[in-house]
Amino acid sequence: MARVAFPNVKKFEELLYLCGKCGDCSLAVKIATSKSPLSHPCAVKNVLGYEAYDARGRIIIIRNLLNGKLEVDDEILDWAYTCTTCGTCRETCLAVEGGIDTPSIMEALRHDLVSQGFRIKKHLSILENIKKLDNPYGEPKEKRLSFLGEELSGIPEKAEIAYFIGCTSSYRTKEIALAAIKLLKQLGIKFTILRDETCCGSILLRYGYVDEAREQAEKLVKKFNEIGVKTVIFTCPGCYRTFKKDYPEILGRVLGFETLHLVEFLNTYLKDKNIAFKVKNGEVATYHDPCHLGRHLNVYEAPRNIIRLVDGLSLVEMETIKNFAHCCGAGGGVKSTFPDLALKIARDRIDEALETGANMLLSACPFCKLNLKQAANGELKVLDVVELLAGTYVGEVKEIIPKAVEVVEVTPGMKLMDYLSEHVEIFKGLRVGCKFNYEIVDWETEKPKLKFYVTVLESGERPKIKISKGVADNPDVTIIISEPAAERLVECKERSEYAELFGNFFNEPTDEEYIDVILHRSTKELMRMGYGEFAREAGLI
Amino acid sequence: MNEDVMKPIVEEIESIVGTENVSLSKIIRLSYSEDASPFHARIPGLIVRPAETLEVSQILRLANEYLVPVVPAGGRSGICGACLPRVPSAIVLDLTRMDNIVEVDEDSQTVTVQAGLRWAELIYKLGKLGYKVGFRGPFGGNAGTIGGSLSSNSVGCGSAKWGSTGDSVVSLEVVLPTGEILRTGSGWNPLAKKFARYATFNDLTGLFIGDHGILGVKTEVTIKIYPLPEGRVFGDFGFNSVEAASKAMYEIQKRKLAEELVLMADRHTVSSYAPQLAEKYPEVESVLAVIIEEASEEIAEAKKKLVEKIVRKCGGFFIGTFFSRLHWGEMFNVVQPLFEEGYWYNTCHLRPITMFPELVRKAHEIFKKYGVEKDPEITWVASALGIDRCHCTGWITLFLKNPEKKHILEKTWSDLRKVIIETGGVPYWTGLLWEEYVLPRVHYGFFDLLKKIKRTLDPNNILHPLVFGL
Repeated sequence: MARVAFPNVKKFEELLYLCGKCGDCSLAVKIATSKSPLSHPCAVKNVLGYEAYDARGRIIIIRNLLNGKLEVDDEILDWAYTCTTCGTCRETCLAVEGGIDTPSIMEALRHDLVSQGFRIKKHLSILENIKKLDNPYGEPKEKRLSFLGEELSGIPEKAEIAYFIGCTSSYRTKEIALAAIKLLKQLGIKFTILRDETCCGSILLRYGYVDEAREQAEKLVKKFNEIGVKTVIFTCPGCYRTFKKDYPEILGRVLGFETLHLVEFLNTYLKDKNIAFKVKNGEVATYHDPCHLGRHLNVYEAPRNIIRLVDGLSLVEMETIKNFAHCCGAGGGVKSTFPDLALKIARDRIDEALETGANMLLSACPFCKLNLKQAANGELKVLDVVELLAGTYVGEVKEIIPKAVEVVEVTPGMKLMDYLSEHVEIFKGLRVGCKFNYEIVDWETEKPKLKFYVTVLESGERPKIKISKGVADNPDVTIIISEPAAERLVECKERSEYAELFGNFFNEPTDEEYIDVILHRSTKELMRMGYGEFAREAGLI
Repeated sequence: MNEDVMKPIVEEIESIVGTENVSLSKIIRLSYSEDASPFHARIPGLIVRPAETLEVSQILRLANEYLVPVVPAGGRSGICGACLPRVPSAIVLDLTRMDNIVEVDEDSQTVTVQAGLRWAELIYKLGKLGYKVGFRGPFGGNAGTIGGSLSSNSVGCGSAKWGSTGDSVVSLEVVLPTGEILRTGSGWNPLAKKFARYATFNDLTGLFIGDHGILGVKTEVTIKIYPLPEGRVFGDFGFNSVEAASKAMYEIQKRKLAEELVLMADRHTVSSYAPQLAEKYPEVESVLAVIIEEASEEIAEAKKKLVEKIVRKCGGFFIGTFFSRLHWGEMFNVVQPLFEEGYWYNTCHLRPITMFPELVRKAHEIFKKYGVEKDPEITWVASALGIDRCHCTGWITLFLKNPEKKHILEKTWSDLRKVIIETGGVPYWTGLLWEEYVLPRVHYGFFDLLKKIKRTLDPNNILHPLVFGL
């Protein structure tokens, strides 16, 4: 037992104080009461059962560590590594803007523990492996790319695009890397692979070894800069998050190249191309959002969009999805520290997937795949999205496949899209980065006929906006408009008229003409983002 | 030390609920020493997570044998400290594993649930079957359990029409402190369905409602259900005084027109919840949000017209539907965003609606006395919620942003609670929040009977000792 200083945890003292201990972070189900796909958010507590493992319990324990009523011992050390840092608790939390950041608090605690010599034995060997072999698995470093065989020779040593394979797909889920390479080649994309790729250091950061991770970061960024890449593509969200979010922070500088997950790259690349993917009819897939790709980097729609490109395949959603999706259990160092716990968490997610009736569980993360596949025990196929695409690639087709046929009839939703792109003054007052969905629905069935979203690129009297079909990643608000209401809105001459009519449809809806609004952030946060101006003008508030 | 005390009983409890559902861990026990209130408990000696009524019964029998205190707990989202142990080394029963829907009885229009089920989950599961409950749960209904609400007389969503938690209950299954299992209402007859509360004998159900878990552990609850509504309308109304808004609230409630009625009492509160609304209507001092739910749109619209008439008569006017829709659409999410203002200290209690303006006036005097009125680091929300007939919750909650000002907060909070009792307010729950203000005023005969009941049912004082001073 020993008293420990907590310089990194103390940076979060205000957040720790503001937790109202409401318990939502593990016990909430918000599906009916606030139309959010959220149910029992803490995947760890769902397995371990006790309060100490959810965010509220963790905050109570950390407060006691800070005030000296509790001292660090082996039990605390183990407990500190039971959090997958998935971030569902943060998404659920409404106490402060963006939620109380328990994952970062847990990582700060690990950093403090490690810095003062509290280290888990198992982690030391992984640390040693990374130092000596450039991978955490203890595999020979010279064999890192040997699974590629002849493939490698066809890949140039320099290109503007680089594919970063990562340790897990180099040594464990090689099929994902092979599929990614196959697909990139099928699509005719010129890319390179680092011949001396090393561990990105993600696991070191998750364990709290920040200095050691910085060394890995320096090495890799230098290598990419040397070969002059413009874009690095990842299939591992763990590596991707580390490059995109952690590297600039721990290196204190920008990287000098763009980073993208392959699903984002494909989502853009495949958009206007007639490239077909086909499975035999009747396959039903569901998609698991990897925490590092979803909650940590806000990529939710890109994987779904590209899954929908596969003809013959239908996508059904699980009960908890996107920012509220349950974690698979592998992240935050849990898989390597407590493999049984990771597997039990994955089993819960598999059960959730089975409830949809899907025969295929897709993800976009080698770590998720590894853990979920192990837990699935053959009950359903577990694949990475990239494997699905590489395996179902048909090629470029001259005729547009039926699924991609555009509706020729001009619908009220399409008219509204055009109208909004011309009347940008409607979005005056909104901050840059605001994103909100529109769902234009059949008035009678309330089923969506068209979904699109607006992103504010520049604010001002006539803000610069982008309107895209589909659903935004992590939107602020969803506006549901019945088709007859949309038909009326597009007749408005100016903002004030539009706002007034919008307000009427909201405040005094009729059977046919109505507007509803689903808020994905607290009203306070939305006010800060500038939504208040229109809402006030429309008489919503 | 704790392990020595607990050792003899641990193995036996493990054999009842399984080793994974019993914990002596120091940090696990610590994490059960707080709830959503600012109070701290004695650290429990053992945490047990039963899944079945029979397990609870066996644990209580053992507790009597070894004379170990037991404290039942639900989602621990309450803000009066009702489930916090007062004595060291108590067994805390974490009942959240008991969260199944036992039966939906369409003949009787009731649902029977295990008491550890959360309100939000019940609403979701019932909704899928086309049903709703009347009282929807307290504002903390995401985490709050049905058993926890019953033990603390919770009020909240839907209370304007459906009253407090207990008003929805038809029958209870309770494990008595000595381990016997009791079924109340028509449940006394093992051959009968649980469809009636007031049947054959006196109402034993009521004995356990609001008992803070001192008379028994609620394990199953049978609640009335209703078909989902087809008509729902909203309205926010502005008033230039809390008196006018309260008058409208009273008149609406008198006629039982609304599913839910929320009154934001002063401009400070209106600004906290809806700053843009406060800015747009500088003359508005209070806002009354009205939610009407009925079996058909026609009935809902007709009731809305009546509400509008009352509002006009009381000097109010329509200002939109945003607040009421937000309140209802974000049913259990309206309080949490206020945590940003600081840690919360509540004074929730019941009083007639007509006596609410007096409380608001006196609260402002207290805020002035301690300089809280102009202190951005201590803020408040003053609101009321229509309950049952013509009473309401007085919901004046303080938020402390700067912990260094806790001494000012404590004085303000204490004065508020004194004034609430002195002006005829009655807390719906007690807990650590109210005991020192309530117990000295309880009529001797009332308290004496409570003591006798407790002694009779719990001769070893096993269940939640020291609550209500018992």
